Amino acid sequence: MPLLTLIIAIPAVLGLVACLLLPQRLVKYGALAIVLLDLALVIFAAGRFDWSGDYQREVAAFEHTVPSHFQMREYVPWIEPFRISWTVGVDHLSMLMILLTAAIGVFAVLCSWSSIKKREKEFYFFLLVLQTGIMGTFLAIDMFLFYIFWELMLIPLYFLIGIWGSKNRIFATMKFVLYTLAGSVLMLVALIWMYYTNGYYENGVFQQVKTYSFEVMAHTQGEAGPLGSFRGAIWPFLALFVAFAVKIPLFPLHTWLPDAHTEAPTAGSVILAGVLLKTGGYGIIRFCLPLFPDVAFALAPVCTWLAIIAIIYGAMTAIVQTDVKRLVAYSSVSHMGFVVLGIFSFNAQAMSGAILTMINHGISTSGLFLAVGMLYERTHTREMSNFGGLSRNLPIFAALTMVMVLSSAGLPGLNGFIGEFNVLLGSMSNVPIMIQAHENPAGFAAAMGMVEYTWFIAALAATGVILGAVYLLIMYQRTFFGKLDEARNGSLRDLVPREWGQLAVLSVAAVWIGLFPRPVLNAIQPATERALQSVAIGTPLAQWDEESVTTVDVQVEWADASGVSKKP
Amino acid sequence: MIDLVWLFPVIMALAALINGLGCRKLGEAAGYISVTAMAATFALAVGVFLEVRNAAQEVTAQAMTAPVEDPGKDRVLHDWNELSEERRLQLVEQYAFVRTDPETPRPWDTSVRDGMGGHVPLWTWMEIDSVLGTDRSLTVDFALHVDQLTTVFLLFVSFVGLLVFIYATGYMRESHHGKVELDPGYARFFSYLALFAASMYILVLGANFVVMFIGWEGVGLCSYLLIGYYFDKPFNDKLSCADAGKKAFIANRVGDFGLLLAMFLIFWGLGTLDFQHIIHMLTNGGEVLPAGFGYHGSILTAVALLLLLGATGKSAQIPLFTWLPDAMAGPTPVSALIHAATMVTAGIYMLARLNVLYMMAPVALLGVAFVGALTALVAAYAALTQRGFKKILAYSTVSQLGLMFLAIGVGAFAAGIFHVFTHAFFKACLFLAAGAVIHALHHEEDIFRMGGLRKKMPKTWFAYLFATLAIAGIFPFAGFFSKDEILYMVHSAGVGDSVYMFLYGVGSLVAAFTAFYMGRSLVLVFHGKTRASQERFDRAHDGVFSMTGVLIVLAIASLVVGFLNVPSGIMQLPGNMNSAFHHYLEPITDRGTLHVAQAVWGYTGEAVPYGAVVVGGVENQAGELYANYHGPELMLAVLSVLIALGGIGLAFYLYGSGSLTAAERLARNPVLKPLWSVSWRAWKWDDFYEAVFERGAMAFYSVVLWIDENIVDGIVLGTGRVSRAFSHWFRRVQNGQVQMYGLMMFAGVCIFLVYLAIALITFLGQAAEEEQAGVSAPEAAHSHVEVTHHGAAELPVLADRVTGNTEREQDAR
Repeated sequence: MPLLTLIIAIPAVLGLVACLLLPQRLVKYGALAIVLLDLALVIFAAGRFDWSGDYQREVAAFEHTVPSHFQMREYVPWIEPFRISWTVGVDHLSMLMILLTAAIGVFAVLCSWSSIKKREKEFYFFLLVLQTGIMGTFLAIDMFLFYIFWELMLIPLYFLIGIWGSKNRIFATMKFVLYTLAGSVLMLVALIWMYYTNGYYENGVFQQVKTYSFEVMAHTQGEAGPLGSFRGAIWPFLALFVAFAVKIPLFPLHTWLPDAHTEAPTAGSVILAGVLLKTGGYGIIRFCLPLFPDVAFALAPVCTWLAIIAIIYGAMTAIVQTDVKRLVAYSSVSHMGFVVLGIFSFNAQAMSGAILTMINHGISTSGLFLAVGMLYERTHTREMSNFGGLSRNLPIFAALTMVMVLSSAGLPGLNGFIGEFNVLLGSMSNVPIMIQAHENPAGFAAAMGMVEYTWFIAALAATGVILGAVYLLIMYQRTFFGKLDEARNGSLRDLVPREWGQLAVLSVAAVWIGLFPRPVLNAIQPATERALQSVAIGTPLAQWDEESVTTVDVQVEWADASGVSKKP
Repeated sequence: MIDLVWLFPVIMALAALINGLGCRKLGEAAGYISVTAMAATFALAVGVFLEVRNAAQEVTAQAMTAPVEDPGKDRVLHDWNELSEERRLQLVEQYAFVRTDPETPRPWDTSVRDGMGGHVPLWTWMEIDSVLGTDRSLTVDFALHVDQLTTVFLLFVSFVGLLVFIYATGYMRESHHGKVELDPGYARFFSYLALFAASMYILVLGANFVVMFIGWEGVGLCSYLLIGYYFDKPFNDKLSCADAGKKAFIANRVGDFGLLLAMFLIFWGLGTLDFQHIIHMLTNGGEVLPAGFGYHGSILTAVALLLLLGATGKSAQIPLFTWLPDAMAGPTPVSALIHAATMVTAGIYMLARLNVLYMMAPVALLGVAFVGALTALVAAYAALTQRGFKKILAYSTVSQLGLMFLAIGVGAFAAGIFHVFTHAFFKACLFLAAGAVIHALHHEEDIFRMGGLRKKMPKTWFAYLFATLAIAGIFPFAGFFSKDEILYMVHSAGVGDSVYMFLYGVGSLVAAFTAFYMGRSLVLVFHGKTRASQERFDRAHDGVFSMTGVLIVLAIASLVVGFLNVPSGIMQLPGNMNSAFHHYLEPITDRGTLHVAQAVWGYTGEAVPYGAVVVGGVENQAGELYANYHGPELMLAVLSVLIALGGIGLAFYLYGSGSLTAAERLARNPVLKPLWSVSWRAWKWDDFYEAVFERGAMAFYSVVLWIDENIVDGIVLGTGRVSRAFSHWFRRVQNGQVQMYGLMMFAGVCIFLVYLAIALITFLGQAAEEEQAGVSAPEAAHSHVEVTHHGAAELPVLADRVTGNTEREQDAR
């Protein structure tokens, strides 16, 4: 059974069928059934998934045969002259991501239940197509297929924001689409470049390996081909990285996010924050690190500093927002900065923390957007000055939102803490910067005393924790505390079961991951190992320790570095 | 019993959950649920305490009879490390206090001195294995740890907590014309209180930094929620109650910043976050310490200073103390329990828990002493002129916490903890009495509008009097013994190092201030003629039994608990009861002292020397550590009682008449007025922070937002505008005139032809060069991969490289 293909196709195909067959008022039930079915399939796939982390087999991709760790792989040649195929597969990283996607998809349908009143058929259709796009993005192994799904995510979101958004929706959706399109065009250029330049040298003769298959490319990149060298790889790396950084969004490429979030309907915001932003982080871990380890390692300090700026800058701009949805949007910039920081710190805690932060952000920020949506549905405003004192009338709402706020603020015992703690803990040992400090004793990094520990990085990033508490508490206080001074807010009704049920499920997830994160961390561990080992190839990371830093040996055994010979 | 310590947080969390879910339906039952839960944990605390104490005594007895290498040694304070390994394991097995998985024994469990530590691992919380040579494996157990220090905290937290809970069932209701009404948030209040207790238990029970951090942040959260309990009411002319809560939370977060960084440094340096393991490593338990972690080590000092920042946040010390006076926006029971007796002592708990670390970082320890002394002085001075009843007590709390920090700073960890212990009783008593007064006067908090309440509220007066005498340090009340111990220790350190003599002077001045402002509040509230409105005064009366009963229990406790730790230099108690508290805690709190004395001073004596002697470097004539130093203890005690009496006497002299004229005349005195104003405005500390961190920071953030919207986004939008403008300009080319199109086409063809010519010339030139070199370039560039007979090309080099994994692949199939 082509399970993964079903997972990808079901939302869009059944969505189309449902919209054609069902009457207007029943469409939402159909949509709910479809996302639940998709969730069931994903859970089924998770049940069949080998979580141990040593799955490995030989697979074919056109004329090549390479070892691959992707499970439930499906391979159908598609455009053969260009070696484009329908190749989908799942590993630990993508398994976690599709679980998150399928779960958030249910919330996206539920939160639109009563808030979407016009053109319901089209709305749910686009929502389901969006889910197909995201699922495909996470599951595609063929990089051209990845690109197609990457673009597919844009189109439904363009309509979702443009038709069902709030006042300034046309501007926001145009900005969003043009901005991310610019990024993905770069990705297309990079993919074609890589297709033609990929290869290796054998006895001094260049052997070209034309491929879009990630598996094949990941196995050729360790050689000193054009992509294996820094000069050959820097441009495709940058092009891919920019495309992903726009999605994350990383400072300074983040300005589409506040507009898109603010104007999007609740479901759009929930999917955007909960899942879509993760495609950026996923892309970096999946493609940028294994395909361009040299460049990733060399540029890690830059990426780290950008992440630090994003963390602090996003938090600072969030503090002075007056629009509650914009505030949450800017907080996403800050939180996703933690993800990038974790990825480019290159150690186990930071990488696992980054992946967990992606999941946590999906839970807590989705929860916050759900809450804001419920508030908006009741008051038709997002200005915080129009709220105040709501916890008197809406105690259930206030309590559940408090859990989401605390989860987002990283209160220990809740999920956000586990991710942030590990990212920060890991950022204390950022090897690329430490090497920089050793190699350049007069440089900035050495001057900041980052020889043994990159404490300065951790210290700066940890200020994000303080600022996070500031903006979240400001938001909560202006909304729920204070005097109930707007007369019309006095008659608001508290949450209905459908609404508090959503927040309650997310709260339980937050507490569960906060207290018992080990299953999740264990599931993340193989993904972390794979990502770190892939970047260790050919970079000093594999062998670096404090004594041998001056004589870094770049020769690494293939079997050790390829990440497939892990001892159980 | 020790196995059951997980019940502490669980019981309270359940109570919180029930109250939180039941909310308004529960009515009065909410209070009873929380009180019952608290009573249960108190009973547990007593059980755990007895078990640990009996075990400690028995092990001591066992160790004394155990055959040792040097039988001549005095074994009043035996050293666990002196026992043979076999004997140690035997004892541990016999008493089974170290709950370690027998398959993976942890070496530091058995090497802990007097091994009364009960390590109760519950589950593995976080686990991230190392991947490369550059990182470490992280394992954090969700584990609890019980030892002597923990039991002290469990005991007083549950006891004072229980009393405050009972008090609150009476306090959180209003009688309107004979009809008793519960506060509208009654269940919510008790839910928060129970959650607070759960967090506090986790804080003191946590076996490692991260579990402690759950409690640490948890109490901060509850404090936030309870300060902002009256979330729709203003607190003073500047802040609402919710603002005050936010301020507390953010100040704590700033402290947490330091705590987090300290944790990271410890993890990357030592590879563990477990307290006992850290202590084990620092005391050289067979392991080599990494660079910077030795005595006086740079990183160790940095860690200690960062932890100090964390402690200043939670325990309201300079520079983060300004939140505590505003924390009085919460209901009075909250002020008594959280902002006086328990939560704010968490910082001191942490410093005492890590006494080894601090003893090994003397610079940081001196920092602790100075932070404490300075805070004590600043806060006590600010309390001199305040008019808000609870505000006086709040500044008093900050000041007393400063004294505790001072004690820690001279290495007198047990003395600091003893002051925590006694302070919990008398400060809770003061707050609850103040609450009773404020309640009786319908939320009047200005002591200038009180007075003469002694006759109206005799029981409250009695409690307040006892607690005042205790905090002022009058013999034989509890505060006398605990505060005097601290001053004596600071003086002892001063014998060796004059810096500490200066700190002793500061401490004595603080004692004088304390006696004065407490005396002042006593007089202004309870004595003299009343200045309250006649109507309010007439209706004032003692609270209901749940309130007065609690007050009397606490008042009696303020009298008696001091006798738990009477130094023999002041009076001899029968039955070896002198310094019982200190001796009980000694194995935990003086571990650092002993280690530094032995490792740094080369001390070989039997008895554990005073931490202050080690810190101050008190030597005897031979240049050795003066282990049996005894200063003029009695004389110092008499001196401080005289100071306290002087302070109270001055207060009665100035305010005793009940009229404020004498005091006001003093305040208007041109010489004293600036001094008065500094105290009244609390050194303008708050104004400074408000200007810098509130207005200044907000302005800065607005600038950042402006940059974001106009520069970062401006570039993006600018790109769009420029391209649109360019298109507008370029559109003119399409003007529909055939001549124009023809011209354009001709131009295009010309450009293309020129390009072709250049390309051709370049290519020919290159081909000529290569022909000379004899290389056929195109062939090498386009050679394809060989095709095997299966039709699928393998990558030959790569295939070789992965053959090492074939076994695994076959397994996978």
